[in-house]
Amino acid sequence: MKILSIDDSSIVRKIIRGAVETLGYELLEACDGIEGFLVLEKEYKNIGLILLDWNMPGMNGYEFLKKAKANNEYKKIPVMMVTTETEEGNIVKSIQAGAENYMIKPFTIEEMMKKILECLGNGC
Amino acid sequence: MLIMNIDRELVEGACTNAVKDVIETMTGFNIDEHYKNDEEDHISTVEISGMMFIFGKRNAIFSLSMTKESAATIVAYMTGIPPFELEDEDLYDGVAELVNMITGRIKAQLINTEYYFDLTPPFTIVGKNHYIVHKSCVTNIFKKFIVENLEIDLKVYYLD
Ligand SMILES: [Mg+2]
Repeated sequence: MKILSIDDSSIVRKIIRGAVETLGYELLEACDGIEGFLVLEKEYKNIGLILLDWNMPGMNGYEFLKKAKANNEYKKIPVMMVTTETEEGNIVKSIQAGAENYMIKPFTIEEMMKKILECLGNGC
Repeated sequence: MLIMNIDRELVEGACTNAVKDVIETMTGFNIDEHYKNDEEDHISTVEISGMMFIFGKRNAIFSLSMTKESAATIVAYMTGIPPFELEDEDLYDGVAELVNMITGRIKAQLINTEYYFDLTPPFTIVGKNHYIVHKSCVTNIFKKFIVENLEIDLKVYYLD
């Protein structure tokens, strides 16, 4: 099973890779929403979880989320927002748009692994 | 242009908490604020500066500056990748992401104040021995932190 990280920071994707590979899963990466959809198109059947940044140039995480959740195939994949956005309004907005879970940066690798397992265990 | 004063205690406190929270969570290191006299502090030269424009009722420029050695140590502990395996681009992206996380934490603490702001994409200025100079009349915050004997400079310059 594969996990897709969409984040414009290559360092964040490397940190997430460490957590994902320690758990024995494979990581797919995209640097914004547009690239995220390109990966989804090819791999959506194998993707069990999307870890989604909010602030990204190009297509941001919120736009990606709304588009993905409007697609019959992609909407089944759970999404966890991984972001510095702590504003209550934005958290509510993303949950209303279909995000199953929310994680605020900064996080430790252990916290990330715990959240991933949580998401995979019970669909977030 | 009229430069307004800022509530130093509030904004500086938010900056210190944010830097400690982010660095300690991401690296496991303890970080201390370092106090020196202002003159000495303002001339420190660095190699990597992570920057962000912050927009709100009060617009400002935020920067976090350090040497390559400091960046390599911090990014290595953030990622679990040994410093010698890190590319320069990893250091630049790592410092920019630290800025993203720190400004995010600052923003969260300033909610419902006139200093609340929106984040913009962080970017990095790179160059041996550069330093950032703003006019002295601009309202600014300057803080130096020490992590594992390495220095990090934080600056916030209010533009209005
Ligand atoms: Mg981002």
